[in-house]
Amino acid sequence: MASLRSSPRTWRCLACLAVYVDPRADGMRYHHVCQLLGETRAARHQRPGHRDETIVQDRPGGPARMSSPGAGRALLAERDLLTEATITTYVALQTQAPLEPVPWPEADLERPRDVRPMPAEAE
Amino acid sequence: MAELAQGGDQASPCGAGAVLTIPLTETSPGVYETWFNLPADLQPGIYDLVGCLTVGGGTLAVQPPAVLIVLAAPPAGLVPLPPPGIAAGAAPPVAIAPPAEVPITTGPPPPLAAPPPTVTVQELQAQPGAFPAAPGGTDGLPSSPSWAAIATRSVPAGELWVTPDDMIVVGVRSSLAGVALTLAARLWGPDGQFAGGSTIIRPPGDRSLNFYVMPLSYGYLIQAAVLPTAGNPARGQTLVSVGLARGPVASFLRYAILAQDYVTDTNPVGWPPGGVVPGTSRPGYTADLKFATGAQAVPTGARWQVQWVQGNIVTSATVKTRWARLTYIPPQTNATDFEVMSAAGIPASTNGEVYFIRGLGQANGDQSLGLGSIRIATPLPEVEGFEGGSWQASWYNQDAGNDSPGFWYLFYEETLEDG
Repeated sequence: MASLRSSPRTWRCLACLAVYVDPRADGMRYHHVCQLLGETRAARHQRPGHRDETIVQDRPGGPARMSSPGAGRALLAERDLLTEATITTYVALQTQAPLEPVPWPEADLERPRDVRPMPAEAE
Repeated sequence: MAELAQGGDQASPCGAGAVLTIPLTETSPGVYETWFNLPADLQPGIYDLVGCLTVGGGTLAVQPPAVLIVLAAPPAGLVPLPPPGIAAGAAPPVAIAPPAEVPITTGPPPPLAAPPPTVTVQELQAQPGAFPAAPGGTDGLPSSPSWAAIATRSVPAGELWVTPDDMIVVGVRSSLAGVALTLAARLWGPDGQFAGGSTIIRPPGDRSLNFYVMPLSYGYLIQAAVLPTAGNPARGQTLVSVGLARGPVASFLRYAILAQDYVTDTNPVGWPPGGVVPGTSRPGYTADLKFATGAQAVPTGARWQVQWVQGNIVTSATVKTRWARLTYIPPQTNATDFEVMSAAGIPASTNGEVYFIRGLGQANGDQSLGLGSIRIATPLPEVEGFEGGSWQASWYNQDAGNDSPGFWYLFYEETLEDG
């Protein structure tokens, strides 16, 4: 079951080329979000294929979904490549050939859920 | 909740094993009727009639059995007699007289012939002779009083009378993958025995809020506790609430909160003594991030308070002043960004090391690293990031392509939202 996986994996975002580890070595889940472009708040905007892995629940206990899959991500390794990386190896990771397929299929977010109707639905 | 985690299946008077299942039809609001043919092969004897109320797939109540006496096997093809006043083959009546008023009695219900089985509550089996029976009690478990003893003694205030209508509801929000929790509960049953049960909860590690249910039986709830059995969650990682609820599983209503806190190996969340600790109370879980680019988004259901941030850069020979910049972008559209610039700039041909530190008294620039190096420490105010917001660290006015920025390291304290 994907949600119970606790061994780290190294990923590369296909939109912003950020390299990150999820779950991290200590088991914590990390949700990558592409950095916004633009120097000022008014000028800030999302890059093409903006990815936002934040888990969104439209209501507490409701079904969970990823905020925005965007361009997707590529799996670089079934282990943590980032912790011991230097900035030079990090740059190399941004072009390293990923494990197939690309983009990597998104994780299944199905889980026990609370199907209590929203007040508007109950009417 | 359609798919709440429950224990394994067991025999139930409402399930497999029943001799004959007789469906009821609601002929008018609140009145249920049926008439039926007895099977030709039904042997004469005494049978129990058990009423089961099932809503949304879950059994809510099991009525004590009534007795059906079959004197002789009926002849095959016997046509049942319809209710008085209704012709055979006619539609069921629309209006039925209201049911007789049911007298309401107080005090504990009479003892059952046998405790109704539930999904997850199982009776403890103690070693024979392991404990001496308490006066008036039964063998097996220590201080197990008889029902009569319960009736003649005042019941301690820390116990709750529960029925199969009640269930324990556990809400879990966890940031840690691979956690397994055990929900354990003990009931003091009407037969005087203590019954214990447990079930395993495996919450997802994405900080989403999930509910899990354990059905209960008749008895006094003695204790309920949740403790981790795998994953070793630290304080701030797995928030657990334990409560009591009624109603169908698909839309239960919590009417009591027994306990809430972060669960750790040495801190089970349980009742008694119970008590509610807000999920946003500190200390939380301190974690660190290492990144070269990307927004460090506060995940759904979490709050992040940044403790300190560190970055380094080797600047080129191009004469200009670079600044380190830490930004928090709140999710609210009307809010402005929170932004802190490094207390000093970094000149050309310099190995710069920059810190933003919460609680630091005053900024300082330290050049003890040697010629061509500088270390800048900048105070960081106490800013709590909510879900939807993000922390970003970047270099301002850098000589892009010629400067060599390194990793950013961000240390933060995470707590989890209650709801």
